[in-house]
Order: sequence, then C-alpha cells, then structure tokens
Amino acid sequence: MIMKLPEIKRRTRKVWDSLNAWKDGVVLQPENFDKDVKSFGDRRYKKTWIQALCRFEAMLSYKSCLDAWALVAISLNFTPDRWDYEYRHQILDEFLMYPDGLELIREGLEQLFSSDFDSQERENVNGFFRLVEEREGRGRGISIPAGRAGAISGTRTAA
Amino acid sequence: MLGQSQELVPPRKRVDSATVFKRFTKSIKDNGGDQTAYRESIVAETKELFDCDVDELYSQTGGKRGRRDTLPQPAQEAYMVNESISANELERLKGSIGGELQEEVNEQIKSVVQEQSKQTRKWLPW
Repeated sequence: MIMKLPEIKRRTRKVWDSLNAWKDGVVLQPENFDKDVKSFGDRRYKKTWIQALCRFEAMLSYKSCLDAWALVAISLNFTPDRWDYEYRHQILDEFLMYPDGLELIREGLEQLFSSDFDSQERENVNGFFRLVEEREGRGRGISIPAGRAGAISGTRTAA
Repeated sequence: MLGQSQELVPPRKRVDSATVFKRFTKSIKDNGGDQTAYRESIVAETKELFDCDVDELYSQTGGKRGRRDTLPQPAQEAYMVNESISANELERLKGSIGGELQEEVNEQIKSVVQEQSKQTRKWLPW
C-alpha cells in the first residue's frame, strides 16, 4: 500500500495533534504545525511530509514508552497489515536518534525474554524481529548512527 | 491426603502491575485498537493521572525509563488501579466500539481510557 500525499498529510497532522494535545485532547498552539513541517523542507514535496510523519511517529512511540516491552511488542512491531509498514525503517531510524532509543529497545527485549512472557507472546513480536532481520541483510543493523554497539544480542536467535 | 488437596488448588498467580498492564493492552486490542490507540491511551492516562508526560514522570521521580518497576510505589499503584478499571470498562464495551475508519475506533478507545483516568484521579491523594 503506497500512501498518497493527501493521506500522508492527514496522518502527519493527526500524529502531530496527539503529540501536542494536553488534557481532553485540546491541541496546544495548533498554528505551530506548519512551521514544524517546514523545518523538514519544502512542503510541496512528498519527501518532506514523509520525513515529518516518520519523525512524529517515532516521537509518539518514545513518549508513550511506559513499559519497554510494549515498545517492541506493540509500538515498533511493524506487521504488513499496518498502515505504517511502508515506513518502518525510517520510523525506526528516527527512533534510534534518541540518545536512549537503542537502550529502550534493549530493555524491552530483556523484559520480553524474561519469565514474565511465554513463547507465544514472543512470537507475536515477529514484526519487530523481521524488521531487525531485514536491516541486518541490508547492512543497516540497528546501531545508532554514531556507531555505538552492534546488533542487539538475542535478536538474531529470536528472529 | 496432602497431595490431593494440593491438586485442588487452581493454577493462579499473584497479580502484579505487569499482569494488569497486559490485560489492559489486550482489552485495547480486542476492541480493535491498533498501536496508535495503545500509545495515545498511555499518553492520555499519564497526563490525567500525573499532569505530565511519561518521560517527565520518569525523569522527575528518578526512575529508569521503560521500567515501570522503578517508579515510586504510589505511581505504580495509580497506574495499576486505573488500568485494571479501564480494562474492565473496555471489556464491557467489547463489540460496541466501532467505526468506518481505524482512527474512529482508536479515538473511542482513547476516550474511554481518558474518562476513566479522570475518575481515578479524583481518588488519588495528589
């Protein structure tokens, strides 16, 4: 499913709104949206919007990370039926820009491989494991851009 | 005799906040909520209960991000109570939440959690 520009714009607005909402879903300073998107480039191009969308999606995953296992098992568990599947690599790239992004993923995997979870629950995280596998194949890995650490231990055997 | 009575004990486990949280996330999924319903519910719940974001809650209480067990006990209890009751409500609503768009479904789920969190907040000491 390749998303068309109007759809990308709509989704970008939606996730931006939820990032900037306070209680009762009241969006604070909605006028900042245009400025925020502009910071990614020329708004006539689809590329600009995709960049903004991926950054904001990663931000929502980061900001909702109460339990690290759910980050891996829900937020970043990209399965082909998800609308954001097409952008899974770019969203993960954006997530790994957070200084503790990789650490949160590592923590999430540790939780998932603890005795609190059974093998069925781990199997349901297939979308994330496949994503890591794809990256290894492309030599993209899952390390942060600065080059800290390599692949996360445990992901290879699990995938 | 002793062996027999042991067999009669049902295989249950001690309930902790991880157990409750799993049931909460399952109730979101069972109502058709996707990853966004889950993420928005967590964000809304945290704002209503604590007047801040998840990352602020961790940094202001000295907890380790992504590990709920490192939050102060009152915070863990607040989440646990709220997620238990929200899950009850979502389980009760199962089958009645719907919409043409995924976003409509997500929005309804988030509203349920948000409303419950407002109610829960009234019973918290802060």
